Amino acid sequence: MDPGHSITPEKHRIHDRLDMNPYQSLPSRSFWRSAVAERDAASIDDLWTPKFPIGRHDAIATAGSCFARHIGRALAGHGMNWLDAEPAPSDVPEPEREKRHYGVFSFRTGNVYTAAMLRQWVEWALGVSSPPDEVWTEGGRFFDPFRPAVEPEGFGCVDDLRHSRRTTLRAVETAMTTARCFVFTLGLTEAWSNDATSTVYPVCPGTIRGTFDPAVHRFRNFTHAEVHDDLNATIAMIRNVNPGMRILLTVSPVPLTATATGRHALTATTYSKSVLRAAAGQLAEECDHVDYFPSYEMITGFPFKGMFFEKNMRSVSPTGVDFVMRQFFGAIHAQEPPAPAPAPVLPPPETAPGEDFLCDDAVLDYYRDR
Amino acid sequence: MTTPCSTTTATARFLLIGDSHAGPIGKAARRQGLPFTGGPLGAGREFNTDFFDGAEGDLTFRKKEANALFRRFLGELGAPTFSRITVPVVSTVGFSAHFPATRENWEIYQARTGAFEEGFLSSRLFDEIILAMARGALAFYEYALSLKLRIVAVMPPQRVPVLSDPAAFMAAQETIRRALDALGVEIVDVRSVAADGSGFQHPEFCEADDPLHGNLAFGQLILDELAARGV
Repeated sequence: MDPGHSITPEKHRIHDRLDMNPYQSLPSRSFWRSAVAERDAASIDDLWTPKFPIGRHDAIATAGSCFARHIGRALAGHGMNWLDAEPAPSDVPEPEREKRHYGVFSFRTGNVYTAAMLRQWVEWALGVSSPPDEVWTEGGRFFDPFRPAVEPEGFGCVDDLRHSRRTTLRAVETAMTTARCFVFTLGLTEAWSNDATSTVYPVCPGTIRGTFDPAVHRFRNFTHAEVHDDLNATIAMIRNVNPGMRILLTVSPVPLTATATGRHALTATTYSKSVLRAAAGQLAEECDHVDYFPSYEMITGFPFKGMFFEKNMRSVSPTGVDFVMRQFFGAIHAQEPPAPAPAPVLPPPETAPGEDFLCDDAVLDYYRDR
Repeated sequence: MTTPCSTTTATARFLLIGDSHAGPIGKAARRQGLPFTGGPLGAGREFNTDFFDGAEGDLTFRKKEANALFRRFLGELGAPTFSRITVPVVSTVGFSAHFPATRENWEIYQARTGAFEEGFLSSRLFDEIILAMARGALAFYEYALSLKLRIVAVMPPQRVPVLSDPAAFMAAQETIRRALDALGVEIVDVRSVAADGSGFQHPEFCEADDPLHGNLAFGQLILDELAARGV
């Protein structure tokens, strides 16, 4: 044996210490082999540990890009308290409701693709700023530039349009001031703004409705810093009126329909989703009241080999939506205390349910310390 | 519980009694070497009922363990009865507002959104519900005052566990505070320091790994306020 390599008692102790490293006590979910490689894709789980509890009775508001519509529906279907702050009036026939965006999100803003657009809606709803007077007209009908899809046939007059938008803004205010949790799904970094009014549109003027004017309408591709700033400011506004509000951010796995950057749609999608994912993740790291739910990874992660997309490799299949929501409910229910067994009528218990056992512990602890 | 309890101090500055929120006050006093006697007599829920009987200048807690602790504390103070206590009584009794704020208590008064109807939390109905639950605690303070004792009530940490409703908690503690104030009870309220801008307990005053209680620093805040009042 090379004497230079002999293990002295001191070296042995060092060796022991080196044997104990931070990875040795990590759970199997932390290792690629046990968490991913050795599993069938459909059995990959434990992707999310909620930072805060979401109770069955907690009012939950949802909004965001098109993928967000699955979340509200699933929450309601699962018996949770999904907040519909702008329910359909009774005179709107059932078949028309979804087309007119009733029951899709917690309010009828239509899809809110960007953080900038969310900030704008919250500012308007909370009276921080006011919407501009801009109205689009077409065929004698009037369309709201900031939610052109919610009334596909438009409004008969400008007053009706403004009245309808005020109703939606009141619903946004209600949701932001009363919900316990707001789930927002980030969709895009690309948007079009109006230089004259400094507002952001949900879609490019001239596509669904309106007229494109290159002198006024400007393309924006928001940076990480801008998305982070918009989200941060929005969350601060919401928490100012609702200090208990918790924010759950997600990123839509749905790729861009089209990019105006001049780049390939795939690389533009990668940029957009990377920025959104990074901004959401950073906020979740920075704030106790913000969490990130990885629906994006659950659908687009390469271990899933694109199996949750439809043939166009863009739309998420019902199986994919089920996979995401199963992970969501599995994680939040794992945090709930076990459901109590039906109890017979008994004299008052010595110990109360819920956190009150902590009071007993605290009392015992006081005397144990002596 | 049946446990060994407080240490006799001939020069005790005060008698501490109450629910588990009395714990951090007592612990902070011990750490500071402050002479006092007492500690928590039970969990908060035990004071949301008729929990004592008072007669002839004395007081008996209906729960055997609480009464045993209380008699021991009186013994340490050399007081044969409650009325013979010569030091101020510092009490957290009645201020376990998280208990009446338990979510299930209020669901029938809430909209589907989980929000209360406007004005409900400041309504007479809400006050009457809370005061009915706190009737034993209010009677306790009233009885102490009738014996000419100096009794100081301490408001709870601004922490709301997940099974309680934050809005109901805030409103309930306010209802209790107003009722005690009307009785003429001194109230220690350190919310302006212990709570952050949102009105909830600042993390530096929260007990770690516990969603409900204050920590030693919170106990110290209360001691400082008591000292400022000459307790």
